[in-house]
Amino acid sequence: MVVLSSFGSPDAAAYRATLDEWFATNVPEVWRNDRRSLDEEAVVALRRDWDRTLYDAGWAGLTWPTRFGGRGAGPVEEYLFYEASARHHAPEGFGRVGRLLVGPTLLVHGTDEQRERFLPGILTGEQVWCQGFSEPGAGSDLAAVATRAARDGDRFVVSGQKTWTSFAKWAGWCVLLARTGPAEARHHNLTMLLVDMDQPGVTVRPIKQISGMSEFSETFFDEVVVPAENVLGGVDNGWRAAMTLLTSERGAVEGANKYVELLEDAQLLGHCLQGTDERAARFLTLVEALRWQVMRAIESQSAGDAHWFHKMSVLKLYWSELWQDMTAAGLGSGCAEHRDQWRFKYLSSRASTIYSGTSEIQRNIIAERVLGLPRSR
Amino acid sequence: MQVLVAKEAEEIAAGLGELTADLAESRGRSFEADAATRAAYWDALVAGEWPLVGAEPEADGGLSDLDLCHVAEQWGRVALPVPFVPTVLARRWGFADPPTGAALTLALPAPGGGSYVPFADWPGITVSGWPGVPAAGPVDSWAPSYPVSTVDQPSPLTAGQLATARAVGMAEAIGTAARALADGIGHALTRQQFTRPIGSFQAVQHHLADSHRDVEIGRSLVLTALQADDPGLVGPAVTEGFARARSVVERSIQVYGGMGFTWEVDLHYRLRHVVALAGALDPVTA
Repeated sequence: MVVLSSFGSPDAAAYRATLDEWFATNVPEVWRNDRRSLDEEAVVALRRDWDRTLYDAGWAGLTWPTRFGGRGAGPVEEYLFYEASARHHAPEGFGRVGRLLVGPTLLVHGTDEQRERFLPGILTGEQVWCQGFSEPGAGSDLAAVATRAARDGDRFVVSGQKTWTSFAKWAGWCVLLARTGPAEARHHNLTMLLVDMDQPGVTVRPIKQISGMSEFSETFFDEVVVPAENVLGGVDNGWRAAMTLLTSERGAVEGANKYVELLEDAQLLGHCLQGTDERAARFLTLVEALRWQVMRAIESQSAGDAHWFHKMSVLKLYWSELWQDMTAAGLGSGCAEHRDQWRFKYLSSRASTIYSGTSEIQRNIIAERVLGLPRSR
Repeated sequence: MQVLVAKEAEEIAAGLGELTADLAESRGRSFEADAATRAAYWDALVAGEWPLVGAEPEADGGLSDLDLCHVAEQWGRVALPVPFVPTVLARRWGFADPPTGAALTLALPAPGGGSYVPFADWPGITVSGWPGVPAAGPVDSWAPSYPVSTVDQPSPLTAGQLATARAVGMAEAIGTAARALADGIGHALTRQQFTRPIGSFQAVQHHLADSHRDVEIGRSLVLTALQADDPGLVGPAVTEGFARARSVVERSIQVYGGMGFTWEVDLHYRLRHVVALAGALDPVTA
């Protein structure tokens, strides 16, 4: 297939039309219209079914190379796909961490055996993954991970605590960052392990968030056994593998999802502010600028610009603080009809400037890596 | 839909950047240039046929509005005190037949039905779309790089031309902001306090990171102003872009500390340039 390089091409318009038709036909009716009234069991079933639907239609490995069962698409297609997915309110499959984070990391750092063993299950969505990086003592300072993986012959024995683990309750596997070397050897003492969650010593406890939801868990590992063949990217080389994985978090998928979510909130805000308040037009404008910022980053990436990622580092900082401004405006709009929704969004939006790199960390990254200022620590 | 600036426009802008930087350096402080120096700047631009940079229609392989905004952004980094951008736009819209070295300017709508005319006092300048040269009011030269007169005569620009002029002016302001940011980074790398460069302190770094965000989002606001499907977003995009450009220059003054408050450091000229552009082109203030 031809990899698209620009959003303005006729091929991109055709691709968009194909996606619109597919999502309109395939997003389940009950999810589209009644998802808020579904019980947890039904939601779980629909989300798992959605993983299979994506696989059957060949979308699961959209940007993976064809020899690994992917579609070989580029970032422009990836953006268009996830923008359409968000516009059509498609479910979020449980296979997301596997498809978007673990799979791409396996493609870069995995052995042939690991790819053969894990990629098929990730594509079908049968294998649900969670990400074991953050710890109570290692948030912004991820290199301070204290979970130990002690070598014992041809296996590792893992003990420690992880937190903010999405999908942990349903995950069969965890991509885990653990300490294998001495504390002084920062960034060179970590190893990434592929851990079977279905074994003694693994305990998952949901965390109740300020919004009342429980999307994350804390996960405890007590002498959990991991065979040495499940080391991803080499012993004591976990930091590099972790950076590959975290880079996958910042890209077309996040950009597309956040653009659509913020657009819908800006439209709701326009309704709540009755169109009389100039803030409504300003927020719509800022969301439109978000869309162009994402498209600029993605076309730069397609064009082989090594600095495309700089535009992405701006993006997280920008959309997270913009969303908080919008939810605060919604909260203060006195919109009785949507009061509960704005309260929920307002509380939920507090997380956006904290997770996957706080606003402070994003500013440090921009200052040091983009602007070339000296390290502050 | 055009997302990225064309390679050709990037090359043109780079050439303009080199020339303007050389001119600014060769004759002392460009913001304080006397009439003879301003004339010399203009002659150098005309000799390179730079005022014709946007004259070829896009359909014939010329620059798009987005490409032209990129050239204007480059211009804003140095902002010599000559009517370059108004001349480029006037020629693009066919107000005068190229090639000629004559300077042109635009009449931009002002509150109350009159017009703001930048560089109205430039020797021999023609106001596009107005027969003859109308009597200009007093020149407001608070920003030497963008003197503006108020004239009691309506603007002849179409709505489309005005929208483009506003996007181009905002892009120019983003360029001035980008230059002020570069100045601020340079200062933060060399100025030492507490035995360290001040750029190693997070409080300073975060100011500059926010400025980088604003310059980047400013470029996306230019795209919004030019290509948003909803025409209701064009005005707010221009307003937002000017506001962010001004914040960037203000932050650089803060990073410079006491030196930023001196006449000697050029940051006040950059601030004046952004404020004067907004005064004539921001739909909220203009």
